[in-house]
Amino acid sequence: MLQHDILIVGAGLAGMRAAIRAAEIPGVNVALVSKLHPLRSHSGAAEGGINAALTPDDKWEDHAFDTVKGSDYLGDQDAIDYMCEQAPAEVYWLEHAGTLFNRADNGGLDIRSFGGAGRPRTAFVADVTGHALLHTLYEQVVARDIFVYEEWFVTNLIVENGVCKGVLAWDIVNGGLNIIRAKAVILATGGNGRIYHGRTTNAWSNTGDGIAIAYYAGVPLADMEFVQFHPTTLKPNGVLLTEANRGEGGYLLNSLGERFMARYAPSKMELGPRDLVSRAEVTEVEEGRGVDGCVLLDIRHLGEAKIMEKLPNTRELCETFLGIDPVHEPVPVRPGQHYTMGGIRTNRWTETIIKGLYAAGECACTSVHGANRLGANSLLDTLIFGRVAAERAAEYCKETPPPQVSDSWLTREEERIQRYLKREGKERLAQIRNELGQSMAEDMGVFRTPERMERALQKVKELQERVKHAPIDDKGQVFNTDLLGAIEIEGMLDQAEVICVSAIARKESRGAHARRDYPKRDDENYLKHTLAFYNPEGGPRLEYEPVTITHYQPMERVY
Amino acid sequence: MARVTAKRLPSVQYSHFRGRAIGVGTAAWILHRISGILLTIYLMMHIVVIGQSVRSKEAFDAALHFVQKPPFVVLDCALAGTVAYHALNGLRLISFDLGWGIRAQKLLFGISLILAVATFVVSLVAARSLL
Amino acid sequence: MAKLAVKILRYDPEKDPAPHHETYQVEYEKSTMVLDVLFMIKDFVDGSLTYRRSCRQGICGSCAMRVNDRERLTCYTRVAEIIGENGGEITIEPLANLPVIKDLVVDIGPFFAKYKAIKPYLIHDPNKPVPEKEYRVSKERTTHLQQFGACIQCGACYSACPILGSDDDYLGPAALAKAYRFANDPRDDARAERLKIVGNEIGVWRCHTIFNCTEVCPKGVEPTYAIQQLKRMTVQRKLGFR
Repeated sequence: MLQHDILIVGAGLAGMRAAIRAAEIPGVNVALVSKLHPLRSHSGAAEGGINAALTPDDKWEDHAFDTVKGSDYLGDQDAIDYMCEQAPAEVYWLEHAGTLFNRADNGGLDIRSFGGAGRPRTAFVADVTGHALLHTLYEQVVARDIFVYEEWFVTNLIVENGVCKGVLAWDIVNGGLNIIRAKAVILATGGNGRIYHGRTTNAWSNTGDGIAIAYYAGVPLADMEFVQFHPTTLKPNGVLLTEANRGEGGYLLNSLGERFMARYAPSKMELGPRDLVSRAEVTEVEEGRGVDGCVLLDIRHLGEAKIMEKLPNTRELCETFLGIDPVHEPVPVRPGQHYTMGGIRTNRWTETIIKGLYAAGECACTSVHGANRLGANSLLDTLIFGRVAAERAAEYCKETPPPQVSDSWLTREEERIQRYLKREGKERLAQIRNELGQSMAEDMGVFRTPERMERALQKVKELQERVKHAPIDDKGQVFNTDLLGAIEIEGMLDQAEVICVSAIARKESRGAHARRDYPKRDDENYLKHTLAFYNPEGGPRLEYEPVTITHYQPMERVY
Repeated sequence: MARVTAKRLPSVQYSHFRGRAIGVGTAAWILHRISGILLTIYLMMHIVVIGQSVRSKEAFDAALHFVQKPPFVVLDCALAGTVAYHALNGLRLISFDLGWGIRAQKLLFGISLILAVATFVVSLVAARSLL
Repeated sequence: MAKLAVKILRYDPEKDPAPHHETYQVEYEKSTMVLDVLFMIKDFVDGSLTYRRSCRQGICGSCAMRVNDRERLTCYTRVAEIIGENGGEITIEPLANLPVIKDLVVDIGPFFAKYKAIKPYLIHDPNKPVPEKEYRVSKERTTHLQQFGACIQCGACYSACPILGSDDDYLGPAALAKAYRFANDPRDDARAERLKIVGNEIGVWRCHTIFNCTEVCPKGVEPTYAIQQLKRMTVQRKLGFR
């Protein structure tokens, strides 16, 4: 019988950080389960850096303020305070664990500027910071001999009477469903960018599986309408060029060669918050000053030496995918879906409304990012709240008996999986996926209008019907990625529905949610989190929750 | 932890010689092995030839006379080239083991090969009167 | 859009007695990567075509395969650039030296077992004080180590190494490069232990400097260089200095 005290779903930064912390607590048995090998997690694609108030002239309170302002005052300030205060210690922990941070001349940590920050506070590893941190954490997982269910896909949560008792997981390599019983489950499954397939920086595997299963189990999804579009993604495939390009001094130019950000964020210029910069880019293109639907990222003036020291990955990506060398040519970029500020609603200790169920990292909405996330705050978020989740879950485990789970859960889930395999029809799963991505990119993008948002919602509903007629070619047990794709797309369609419904209901513009019909922020009516509850009979049921405000009252947000 | 019921692919896939896999490093390795084997064979033959001196003066003279015929002179020149290659590439490998010159591996191989061929050619020229 | 014949080594463990090639016809354009070709086939021709993939930007290491007899990251390899290698046809096969699970998916267990065997984590001497903030490490040393830290554990080097073709026990280029990355980290205190783990017939001495690993590494890690440095360090330790 598979049983643990704490089971962590997802082995990216948040999941592995939780596992490492849990393994340090005596008497706690912890395991990780992931549909990928941990080193394949998309945390590894993060590029720019991790924020912390490290320099003598910096204070965590300033970092917190920048984060609150960046969130357009929708972030929960108690969680933000905690995250920013803990940040420096976390960065030193990473360094002591061996992370190869870039160094200044004196051998100490080098710091770079990042979007929305009052002063430079981003520690980094060239422009592969996520990769470096992911590998450091996995090394620590290996050092502690923490057990990992590698390539096991969690299909459902086991929740009885408001208490989480474990998960149901499909063994991808060998086939077959299994119950993994656990006193506490931490969801750390990452983002859902593939909802915007074709226009996202996210990996193929970012399908929001954990968000979906929490939703089906009755946990509300918060603030799903706040989808971050990163200003510098490549047109052919959505691959990310890090904000560090701008942090190191790169420019954004329109077709006239102007640094157009002067008109949108005169003080911060290219280092304004991402929602602002993305809107600026779209406006420039709409007003005829784009270059083939893009703007130009120009880092030529940084020089080859600096680029090779701090932005080598950017150069490699441009050469590989565009055949352009950014040392000599500007690179066309445009906004692409990158991050979901929304997700599984938790309190500032990563607890959800279900006992024994926690969530941390991008899949969670704590909310430290509110309506818009600052760059280099996500790597921080995952680590801080991964650790918190482990500590909370361990406390909970101490006073919780081992769960009793009937095998009927397994039988029911096996029947459900069989229904996927028996599907018939003329649709193709890939077609559904492509149409979802296209529709969301067009109609639920940087600027939103009521007609288009409604159109997006109708499209989702149409696809939710059509997907039932998309058969699975692969009927085998061993490594059936076709089956996984079918499960993933259903979860994505339901999440997309939540995004649409939440967006239509929020009649204001705030952070990344920008409406043409309500262009201003409306604190009187909408200084609150959207909560979407699963409703099998109809669409998601919306409620609202106030934002936790401690020090900073909402002000006008200018950069 | 994966109970995998998998087969290994047929062994031709792993060979040193497959397709595009022959790079400079593999070529150097192959030539080093071949030259090593050839030198060992030569050494055996050399011992047999020189060992005739144990039998008698006449046997030794006959053996030497035999191996001074033109075809063997050419082989002797080839031997010089083979020794040169094996020695120079051997130095290349020793330098790697000492941590030097690794990034220049293709260049060093090229030099070894060229000098080895040059040794062969120069020997032929020097021994032309014996051919 | 131009036409392309793709020959893929398929293998269904539940049906096939042995792996066999199947050929598909697709179309490609300038920006098409080999991974995109796999998706074209899986999406609209045969959904049972199975392969690993995730980031599609050369950083997760999932999609290393043998394309036209050479190890590459399929997400990072442009079809247009390799179309001439094999007369307009592209062959895609799984990584070598690892058991095949299905189609292009191999068992990476043995690869990671060796990763774990070299103690791939920083080891501090518990008797030494830990700085309150960060350790001081020079820029030069950091840049040097970052080259070996760039390894994404994709397995391309492992597949390309002919030594592993005949000896399953050899630790392999990736594990050894990782061992070097730690042995040469000034913050690490376990160099002697590390050199013991790699200074033997399944470690550095099995490397014959064939350089295949360095040739195929998509991230420029140069495992051969790392292994030779480890050889030097091992000999120095045995001879009594350092």
